[in-house]
Amino acid sequence: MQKIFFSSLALIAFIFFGCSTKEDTKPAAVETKKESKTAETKPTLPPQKATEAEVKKALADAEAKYEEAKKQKVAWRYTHKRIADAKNAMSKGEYDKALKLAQEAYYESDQAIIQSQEAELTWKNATPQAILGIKD
Amino acid sequence: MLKMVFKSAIITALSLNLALAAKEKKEQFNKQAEKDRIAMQKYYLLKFSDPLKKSAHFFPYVDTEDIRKNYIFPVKLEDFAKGVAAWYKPTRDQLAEFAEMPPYLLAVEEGEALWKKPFANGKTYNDCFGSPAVLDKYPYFDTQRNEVITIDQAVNECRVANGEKPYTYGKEDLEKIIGYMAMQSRGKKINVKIPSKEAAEAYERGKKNFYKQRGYFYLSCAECHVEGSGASIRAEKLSTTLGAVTHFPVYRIKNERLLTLQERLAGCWEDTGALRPKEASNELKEIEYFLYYMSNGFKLDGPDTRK
Repeated sequence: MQKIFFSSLALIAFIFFGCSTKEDTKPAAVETKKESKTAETKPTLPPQKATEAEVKKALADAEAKYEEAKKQKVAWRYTHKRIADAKNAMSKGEYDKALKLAQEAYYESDQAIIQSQEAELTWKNATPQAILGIKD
Repeated sequence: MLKMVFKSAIITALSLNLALAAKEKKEQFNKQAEKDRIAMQKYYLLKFSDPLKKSAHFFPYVDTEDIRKNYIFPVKLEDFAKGVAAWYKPTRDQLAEFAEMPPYLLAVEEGEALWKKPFANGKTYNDCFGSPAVLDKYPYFDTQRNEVITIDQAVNECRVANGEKPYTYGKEDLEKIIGYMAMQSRGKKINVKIPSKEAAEAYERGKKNFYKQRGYFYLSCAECHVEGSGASIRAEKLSTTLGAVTHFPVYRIKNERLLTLQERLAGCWEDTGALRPKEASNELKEIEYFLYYMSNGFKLDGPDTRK
Protein backbone atom coordinates (compact mmCIF):
# COMPACT_ATOMS: atom_id res chain seq x y z
CA MET A 1 0.00 0.00 0.00
CA GLN A 2 2.81 2.33 1.06
CA LYS A 3 4.63 1.39 -2.15
CA ILE A 4 1.62 2.34 -4.24
CA PHE A 5 1.24 5.65 -2.39
CA PHE A 6 4.88 6.67 -2.94
CA SER A 7 4.91 5.63 -6.56
CA SER A 8 1.70 7.63 -7.33
CA LEU A 9 3.21 10.60 -5.47
CA ALA A 10 6.32 10.32 -7.62
CA LEU A 11 4.19 10.13 -10.74
CA ILE A 12 2.21 13.26 -9.76
CA ALA A 13 5.44 15.09 -8.99
CA PHE A 14 6.87 14.02 -12.35
CA ILE A 15 3.80 15.17 -14.24
CA PHE A 16 3.72 18.49 -12.40
CA PHE A 17 7.40 19.32 -12.81
CA GLY A 18 7.47 17.92 -16.28
CA CYS A 19 4.58 20.14 -17.38
CA SER A 20 5.88 23.21 -15.64
CA THR A 21 9.24 22.81 -17.31
CA LYS A 22 7.51 22.59 -20.69
CA GLU A 23 5.49 25.73 -19.95
CA ASP A 24 8.66 27.60 -19.08
CA THR A 25 10.33 26.73 -22.36
CA LYS A 26 7.38 27.52 -24.64
CA PRO A 27 7.65 31.37 -24.75
CA ALA A 28 11.34 31.09 -25.37
CA ALA A 29 10.71 28.93 -28.43
CA VAL A 30 8.17 31.44 -29.77
CA GLU A 31 10.63 34.23 -29.27
CA THR A 32 13.30 32.44 -31.26
CA LYS A 33 10.81 31.88 -34.06
CA LYS A 34 9.86 35.57 -34.03
CA GLU A 35 13.49 36.57 -34.20
CA SER A 36 14.15 34.34 -37.18
CA LYS A 37 11.03 35.69 -38.90
CA THR A 38 12.25 39.27 -38.48
CA ALA A 39 15.56 38.23 -39.86
CA GLU A 40 13.78 36.76 -42.92
CA THR A 41 11.76 39.88 -43.78
CA LYS A 42 14.64 42.26 -43.34
CA PRO A 43 17.63 40.61 -44.93
CA THR A 44 20.82 42.50 -44.79
CA LEU A 45 22.06 43.20 -48.29
CA PRO A 46 25.34 41.68 -49.30
CA PRO A 47 27.93 44.29 -50.17
CA GLN A 48 27.04 45.76 -53.59
CA LYS A 49 29.64 45.89 -56.32
CA ALA A 50 27.75 48.58 -58.27
CA THR A 51 27.52 52.12 -57.01
CA GLU A 52 24.47 54.36 -56.98
CA ALA A 53 26.09 56.65 -59.54
CA GLU A 54 26.68 53.72 -61.91
CA VAL A 55 23.05 52.61 -61.62
CA LYS A 56 21.77 56.14 -62.20
CA LYS A 57 23.85 56.44 -65.35
CA ALA A 58 22.75 53.03 -66.64
CA LEU A 59 19.12 53.92 -65.95
CA ALA A 60 19.38 57.24 -67.75
CA ASP A 61 20.97 55.48 -70.75
CA ALA A 62 18.27 52.78 -70.74
CA GLU A 63 15.49 55.35 -70.59
CA ALA A 64 16.98 57.43 -73.39
CA LYS A 65 17.40 54.35 -75.61
CA TYR A 66 13.86 53.23 -74.81
CA GLU A 67 12.47 56.63 -75.81
CA GLU A 68 14.44 56.41 -79.04
CA ALA A 69 12.97 52.97 -79.79
CA LYS A 70 9.48 54.14 -78.86
CA LYS A 71 9.80 57.12 -81.16
CA GLN A 72 10.65 54.77 -84.01
CA LYS A 73 7.66 52.54 -83.00
CA VAL A 74 9.93 49.55 -82.53
CA ALA A 75 10.12 49.25 -78.73
CA TRP A 76 9.74 45.80 -77.21
CA ARG A 77 6.87 44.71 -75.04
CA TYR A 78 8.40 44.49 -71.55
CA THR A 79 11.31 46.94 -71.66
CA HIS A 80 9.38 49.57 -69.69
CA LYS A 81 8.77 46.94 -67.00
CA ARG A 82 12.50 46.22 -66.74
CA ILE A 83 13.19 49.94 -66.32
CA ALA A 84 10.53 50.16 -63.59
CA ASP A 85 12.00 47.08 -61.86
CA ALA A 86 15.47 48.63 -62.05
CA LYS A 87 14.20 51.83 -60.42
CA ASN A 88 12.49 49.80 -57.72
CA ALA A 89 15.66 47.81 -57.02
CA MET A 90 17.69 51.03 -56.85
CA SER A 91 15.30 52.51 -54.31
CA LYS A 92 15.87 49.44 -52.12
CA GLY A 93 19.62 49.82 -52.40
CA GLU A 94 19.94 46.66 -54.53
CA TYR A 95 22.39 48.33 -56.90
CA ASP A 96 23.74 45.16 -58.51
CA LYS A 97 20.25 43.99 -59.43
CA ALA A 98 19.25 47.48 -60.60
CA LEU A 99 22.35 47.77 -62.76
CA LYS A 100 21.70 44.38 -64.38
CA LEU A 101 18.07 45.29 -65.13
CA ALA A 102 18.95 48.70 -66.53
CA GLN A 103 21.60 47.16 -68.77
CA GLU A 104 19.10 44.56 -69.97
CA ALA A 105 16.57 47.31 -70.76
CA TYR A 106 19.22 49.22 -72.71
CA TYR A 107 20.19 46.09 -74.63
CA GLU A 108 16.55 45.39 -75.56
CA SER A 109 15.95 48.86 -76.99
CA ASP A 110 19.29 48.76 -78.78
CA GLN A 111 18.40 45.41 -80.36
CA ALA A 112 14.93 46.69 -81.27
CA ILE A 113 16.48 49.55 -83.22
CA ILE A 114 19.09 47.35 -84.91
CA GLN A 115 16.53 44.72 -85.92
CA SER A 116 14.23 47.42 -87.26
CA GLN A 117 17.04 48.73 -89.47
CA GLU A 118 17.58 45.22 -90.76
CA ALA A 119 13.84 44.61 -91.28
CA GLU A 120 13.68 47.85 -93.24
CA LEU A 121 15.89 46.19 -95.86
CA THR A 122 14.29 42.75 -95.86
CA TRP A 123 10.52 43.20 -95.46
CA LYS A 124 9.91 43.10 -99.21
CA ASN A 125 11.12 39.49 -99.28
CA ALA A 126 7.91 38.47 -97.54
CA THR A 127 5.51 39.87 -100.13
CA PRO A 128 3.62 37.56 -102.52
CA GLN A 129 5.56 39.14 -105.41
CA ALA A 130 8.85 38.03 -103.82
CA ILE A 131 7.56 34.56 -102.94
CA LEU A 132 6.21 33.99 -106.45
CA GLY A 133 9.14 35.69 -108.13
CA ILE A 134 6.97 38.38 -109.78
CA LYS A 135 8.88 41.52 -110.71
CA ASP A 136 7.24 44.79 -109.64
CA MET B 1 -15.15 83.70 -138.03
CA LEU B 2 -13.29 80.59 -139.21
CA LYS B 3 -10.30 81.74 -137.23
CA MET B 4 -12.42 81.98 -134.08
CA VAL B 5 -13.85 78.48 -134.57
CA PHE B 6 -10.38 77.11 -135.17
CA LYS B 7 -9.05 78.82 -132.03
CA SER B 8 -11.87 77.56 -129.79
CA ALA B 9 -11.47 74.04 -131.21
CA ILE B 10 -7.79 74.08 -130.28
CA ILE B 11 -8.55 75.39 -126.79
CA THR B 12 -11.23 72.71 -126.24
CA ALA B 13 -8.90 69.97 -127.46
CA LEU B 14 -6.11 71.20 -125.19
CA SER B 15 -8.31 71.42 -122.10
CA LEU B 16 -9.76 67.95 -122.82
CA ASN B 17 -6.25 66.61 -123.09
CA LEU B 18 -5.27 68.22 -119.82
CA ALA B 19 -8.35 66.83 -118.07
CA LEU B 20 -7.63 63.34 -119.40
CA ALA B 21 -4.01 63.58 -118.30
CA ALA B 22 -5.09 64.69 -114.83
CA LYS B 23 -7.54 61.79 -114.60
CA GLU B 24 -4.86 59.36 -115.69
CA LYS B 25 -2.50 60.79 -113.12
CA LYS B 26 -5.18 60.51 -110.42
CA GLU B 27 -5.79 56.89 -111.25
CA GLN B 28 -2.10 56.12 -110.99
CA PHE B 29 -2.10 56.56 -107.21
CA ASN B 30 -3.34 52.99 -106.85
CA LYS B 31 -1.02 51.54 -109.49
CA GLN B 32 1.27 49.78 -107.01
CA ALA B 33 -1.65 48.80 -104.78
CA GLU B 34 -3.34 47.12 -107.73
CA LYS B 35 -0.17 45.18 -108.50
CA ASP B 36 -0.02 44.09 -104.86
CA ARG B 37 -3.68 43.06 -104.83
CA ILE B 38 -3.38 40.96 -107.97
CA ALA B 39 -0.17 39.33 -106.72
CA MET B 40 -1.88 38.54 -103.41
CA GLN B 41 -4.77 36.85 -105.23
CA LYS B 42 -2.37 34.89 -107.47
CA TYR B 43 -0.41 33.74 -104.45
CA TYR B 44 -3.43 32.40 -102.57
CA LEU B 45 -5.07 30.82 -105.61
CA LEU B 46 -1.84 28.99 -106.36
CA LYS B 47 -1.16 28.05 -102.74
CA PHE B 48 -4.60 26.55 -102.23
CA SER B 49 -4.99 25.10 -105.73
CA ASP B 50 -3.48 21.79 -104.64
CA PRO B 51 -1.88 21.95 -101.18
CA LEU B 52 -0.95 18.28 -101.35
CA LYS B 53 1.13 18.64 -104.51
CA LYS B 54 2.56 21.96 -103.40
CA SER B 55 3.11 21.03 -99.76
CA ALA B 56 6.91 21.17 -100.01
CA HIS B 57 6.79 24.74 -101.29
CA PHE B 58 3.80 26.24 -99.49
CA PHE B 59 3.16 23.97 -96.49
CA PRO B 60 6.55 22.64 -95.43
CA TYR B 61 5.55 22.19 -91.79
CA VAL B 62 2.07 20.74 -92.29
CA ASP B 63 1.56 17.00 -91.98
CA THR B 64 0.61 15.70 -95.43
CA GLU B 65 -1.88 13.35 -93.79
CA ASP B 66 -3.63 16.40 -92.32
CA ILE B 67 -3.75 17.97 -95.79
CA ARG B 68 -5.08 14.77 -97.36
CA LYS B 69 -7.77 14.32 -94.72
CA ASN B 70 -8.88 17.85 -93.88
CA TYR B 71 -7.95 20.41 -96.55
CA ILE B 72 -10.52 21.51 -99.11
CA PHE B 73 -9.11 22.45 -102.50
CA PRO B 74 -9.02 24.11 -104.94
CA VAL B 75 -10.34 27.24 -103.19
CA LYS B 76 -12.26 29.74 -105.30
CA LEU B 77 -11.29 33.39 -105.01
CA GLU B 78 -14.54 34.53 -103.37
CA ASP B 79 -14.35 31.69 -100.82
CA PHE B 80 -11.31 33.26 -99.15
CA ALA B 81 -13.84 35.57 -97.47
CA LYS B 82 -14.83 32.59 -95.30
CA GLY B 83 -11.42 32.54 -93.61
CA VAL B 84 -10.00 29.20 -92.47
CA ALA B 85 -13.43 27.61 -93.09
CA ALA B 86 -12.80 28.05 -96.82
CA TRP B 87 -10.11 25.38 -96.86
CA TYR B 88 -10.14 23.47 -93.57
CA LYS B 89 -12.94 20.97 -92.93
CA PRO B 90 -12.84 20.81 -89.10
CA THR B 91 -13.09 24.61 -88.84
CA ARG B 92 -15.80 24.71 -91.52
CA ASP B 93 -17.85 22.19 -89.50
CA GLN B 94 -17.31 24.01 -86.20
CA LEU B 95 -18.26 27.40 -87.66
CA ALA B 96 -21.33 25.87 -89.32
CA GLU B 97 -22.45 24.73 -85.86
CA PHE B 98 -21.84 28.20 -84.44
CA ALA B 99 -23.84 29.70 -87.29
CA GLU B 100 -26.93 27.83 -86.09
CA MET B 101 -27.05 30.11 -83.07
CA PRO B 102 -24.47 32.86 -83.61
CA PRO B 103 -22.96 34.06 -80.33
CA TYR B 104 -22.78 37.66 -81.60
CA LEU B 105 -26.52 38.14 -82.14
CA LEU B 106 -27.19 39.56 -78.69
CA ALA B 107 -24.36 42.08 -79.13
CA VAL B 108 -25.79 43.10 -82.51
CA GLU B 109 -29.24 43.63 -80.95
CA GLU B 110 -27.69 45.78 -78.25
CA GLY B 111 -25.78 47.63 -80.97
CA GLU B 112 -29.04 48.40 -82.72
CA ALA B 113 -30.50 49.82 -79.50
CA LEU B 114 -27.39 51.98 -79.03
CA TRP B 115 -27.63 53.14 -82.63
CA LYS B 116 -31.22 54.26 -82.18
CA LYS B 117 -30.74 55.85 -78.75
CA PRO B 118 -30.58 59.66 -79.20
CA PHE B 119 -27.62 61.65 -77.88
CA ALA B 120 -28.25 64.29 -75.19
CA ASN B 121 -28.74 66.85 -77.98
CA GLY B 122 -31.52 64.74 -79.52
CA LYS B 123 -29.53 63.68 -82.59
CA THR B 124 -28.61 60.08 -83.40
CA TYR B 125 -25.91 58.21 -85.33
CA ASN B 126 -28.19 58.43 -88.35
CA ASP B 127 -27.49 62.16 -88.46
CA CYS B 128 -23.79 61.41 -88.89
CA PHE B 129 -23.94 58.39 -91.19
CA GLY B 130 -27.33 58.55 -92.86
CA SER B 131 -27.71 54.79 -92.51
CA PRO B 132 -26.02 51.98 -90.60
CA ALA B 133 -25.24 50.17 -93.88
CA VAL B 134 -22.10 52.16 -94.68
CA LEU B 135 -19.24 49.82 -93.86
CA ASP B 136 -18.36 49.54 -97.54
CA LYS B 137 -17.26 53.18 -97.38
CA TYR B 138 -14.63 52.50 -94.68
CA PRO B 139 -11.73 52.80 -94.27
CA TYR B 140 -11.15 55.76 -96.54
CA PHE B 141 -8.43 58.34 -96.94
CA ASP B 142 -9.52 61.84 -95.98
CA THR B 143 -7.69 64.14 -98.38
CA GLN B 144 -8.43 67.21 -96.26
CA ARG B 145 -7.03 65.77 -93.04
CA ASN B 146 -4.49 63.58 -94.84
CA GLU B 147 -5.22 60.52 -92.75
CA VAL B 148 -7.00 57.20 -92.93
CA ILE B 149 -10.44 57.21 -91.31
CA THR B 150 -11.69 53.90 -89.94
CA ILE B 151 -15.24 53.10 -88.93
CA ASP B 152 -14.29 53.01 -85.20
CA GLN B 153 -12.87 56.50 -85.51
CA ALA B 154 -15.92 57.76 -87.42
CA VAL B 155 -18.28 56.44 -84.70
CA ASN B 156 -16.26 58.13 -81.98
CA GLU B 157 -15.96 61.38 -83.95
CA CYS B 158 -19.73 61.35 -84.41
CA ARG B 159 -20.14 61.04 -80.64
CA VAL B 160 -17.71 63.85 -79.89
CA ALA B 161 -19.36 66.10 -82.50
CA ASN B 162 -22.63 65.55 -80.66
CA GLY B 163 -21.24 66.35 -77.23
CA GLU B 164 -20.77 62.74 -76.10
CA LYS B 165 -17.66 61.04 -74.76
CA PRO B 166 -15.86 58.76 -77.24
CA TYR B 167 -16.14 55.03 -76.62
CA THR B 168 -13.18 53.09 -75.27
CA TYR B 169 -11.99 49.93 -76.99
CA GLY B 170 -12.82 46.74 -75.15
CA LYS B 171 -15.79 48.20 -73.26
CA GLU B 172 -18.01 46.63 -75.92
CA ASP B 173 -20.35 49.51 -76.85
CA LEU B 174 -18.18 50.55 -79.78
CA GLU B 175 -17.91 46.94 -80.94
CA LYS B 176 -21.67 46.42 -80.60
CA ILE B 177 -22.54 49.46 -82.72
CA ILE B 178 -20.04 48.43 -85.40
CA GLY B 179 -21.43 44.88 -85.17
CA TYR B 180 -24.88 46.25 -85.94
CA MET B 181 -23.53 48.39 -88.79
CA ALA B 182 -21.67 45.36 -90.20
CA MET B 183 -24.84 43.28 -90.12
CA GLN B 184 -26.66 46.01 -92.05
CA SER B 185 -23.78 46.29 -94.55
CA ARG B 186 -23.67 42.57 -95.39
CA GLY B 187 -23.41 41.84 -99.08
CA LYS B 188 -21.90 45.20 -99.99
CA LYS B 189 -18.54 45.07 -101.76
CA ILE B 190 -15.33 46.45 -100.33
CA ASN B 191 -14.21 49.36 -102.49
CA VAL B 192 -11.21 51.13 -100.98
CA LYS B 193 -9.76 53.96 -103.05
CA ILE B 194 -6.38 55.64 -103.09
CA PRO B 195 -7.24 59.19 -104.11
CA SER B 196 -3.97 61.07 -103.64
CA LYS B 197 -0.21 60.87 -103.31
CA GLU B 198 -0.56 61.08 -99.53
CA ALA B 199 -3.06 58.22 -99.60
CA ALA B 200 -0.63 56.12 -101.62
CA GLU B 201 2.08 56.90 -99.05
CA ALA B 202 -0.26 55.87 -96.22
CA TYR B 203 -1.01 52.65 -98.10
CA GLU B 204 2.72 51.97 -98.53
CA ARG B 205 3.40 52.58 -94.83
CA GLY B 206 0.56 50.24 -93.93
CA LYS B 207 1.94 47.61 -96.28
CA LYS B 208 5.44 47.93 -94.86
CA ASN B 209 4.19 47.65 -91.28
CA PHE B 210 2.29 44.52 -92.25
CA TYR B 211 5.37 42.83 -93.72
CA LYS B 212 8.05 44.24 -91.42
CA GLN B 213 9.37 42.05 -88.62
CA ARG B 214 9.42 43.41 -85.09
CA GLY B 215 9.42 42.55 -81.39
CA TYR B 216 11.60 40.11 -79.49
CA PHE B 217 10.18 37.27 -81.60
CA TYR B 218 11.19 39.21 -84.72
CA LEU B 219 7.87 38.40 -86.38
CA SER B 220 5.60 40.25 -88.77
CA CYS B 221 1.86 40.02 -89.40
CA ALA B 222 2.68 38.55 -92.83
CA GLU B 223 4.85 35.78 -91.46
CA CYS B 224 1.77 34.12 -89.97
CA HIS B 225 -0.92 35.40 -92.32
CA VAL B 226 0.80 35.25 -95.71
CA GLU B 227 3.62 32.73 -95.78
CA GLY B 228 2.37 30.92 -92.68
CA SER B 229 -1.30 30.93 -93.61
CA GLY B 230 -2.62 27.42 -93.87
CA ALA B 231 -0.08 26.12 -91.37
CA SER B 232 -0.82 25.26 -87.75
CA ILE B 233 -0.29 27.33 -84.67
CA ARG B 234 -0.85 25.10 -81.66
CA ALA B 235 -4.26 23.49 -82.32
CA GLU B 236 -5.47 26.16 -84.77
CA LYS B 237 -4.86 27.01 -88.41
CA LEU B 238 -3.48 30.38 -89.47
CA SER B 239 -5.90 32.42 -91.57
CA THR B 240 -5.20 34.01 -94.93
CA THR B 241 -4.82 37.77 -95.46
CA LEU B 242 -7.02 37.70 -98.53
CA GLY B 243 -10.65 38.19 -97.50
CA ALA B 244 -9.75 38.36 -93.81
CA VAL B 245 -11.32 41.77 -93.22
CA THR B 246 -14.73 40.86 -94.65
CA HIS B 247 -16.10 39.39 -91.44
CA PHE B 248 -15.11 42.09 -88.94
CA PRO B 249 -16.02 42.85 -86.24
CA VAL B 250 -15.60 39.23 -85.20
CA TYR B 251 -16.99 37.47 -82.19
CA ARG B 252 -13.84 35.86 -80.87
CA ILE B 253 -14.55 32.81 -78.76
CA LYS B 254 -11.32 33.30 -76.83
CA ASN B 255 -12.46 36.79 -75.73
CA GLU B 256 -16.18 35.98 -75.57
CA ARG B 257 -17.10 39.27 -77.24
CA LEU B 258 -17.00 41.22 -80.48
CA LEU B 259 -13.63 42.67 -81.50
CA THR B 260 -12.92 45.35 -84.07
CA LEU B 261 -10.11 44.99 -86.58
CA GLN B 262 -8.15 47.69 -84.74
CA GLU B 263 -8.13 45.60 -81.56
CA ARG B 264 -7.05 42.46 -83.43
CA LEU B 265 -4.27 44.32 -85.18
CA ALA B 266 -3.02 45.76 -81.89
CA GLY B 267 -3.06 42.24 -80.42
CA CYS B 268 -1.21 40.83 -83.43
CA TRP B 269 1.43 43.57 -83.16
CA GLU B 270 1.87 42.81 -79.46
CA ASP B 271 2.15 39.05 -80.10
CA THR B 272 5.38 39.71 -82.01
CA GLY B 273 6.91 40.83 -78.70
CA ALA B 274 6.63 44.52 -79.55
CA LEU B 275 5.05 47.24 -77.46
CA ARG B 276 1.30 47.30 -78.17
CA PRO B 277 0.32 50.36 -80.21
CA LYS B 278 -2.86 52.21 -79.40
CA GLU B 279 -5.98 51.32 -81.33
CA ALA B 280 -6.80 53.99 -83.94
CA SER B 281 -3.11 55.01 -84.07
CA ASN B 282 -1.85 55.93 -87.53
CA GLU B 283 0.21 52.73 -87.82
CA LEU B 284 -2.78 50.47 -87.23
CA LYS B 285 -5.17 52.54 -89.32
CA GLU B 286 -2.73 52.36 -92.24
CA ILE B 287 -2.40 48.58 -91.88
CA GLU B 288 -6.21 48.41 -91.95
CA TYR B 289 -6.22 50.56 -95.10
CA PHE B 290 -3.75 48.17 -96.76
CA LEU B 291 -5.69 45.07 -95.70
CA TYR B 292 -9.01 46.39 -96.95
CA TYR B 293 -7.42 47.32 -100.26
CA MET B 294 -6.13 43.76 -100.61
CA SER B 295 -9.73 42.53 -100.23
CA ASN B 296 -11.25 45.02 -102.68
CA GLY B 297 -14.18 43.42 -104.49
CA PHE B 298 -14.96 40.95 -101.69
CA LYS B 299 -18.42 41.08 -100.15
CA LEU B 300 -18.75 42.20 -96.54
CA ASP B 301 -19.97 39.41 -94.29
CA GLY B 302 -19.56 40.65 -90.73
CA PRO B 303 -19.97 40.05 -87.96
CA ASP B 304 -18.86 36.46 -87.81
CA THR B 305 -17.49 33.99 -85.29
CA ARG B 306 -13.82 33.15 -85.06
CA LYS B 307 -11.79 31.08 -82.63
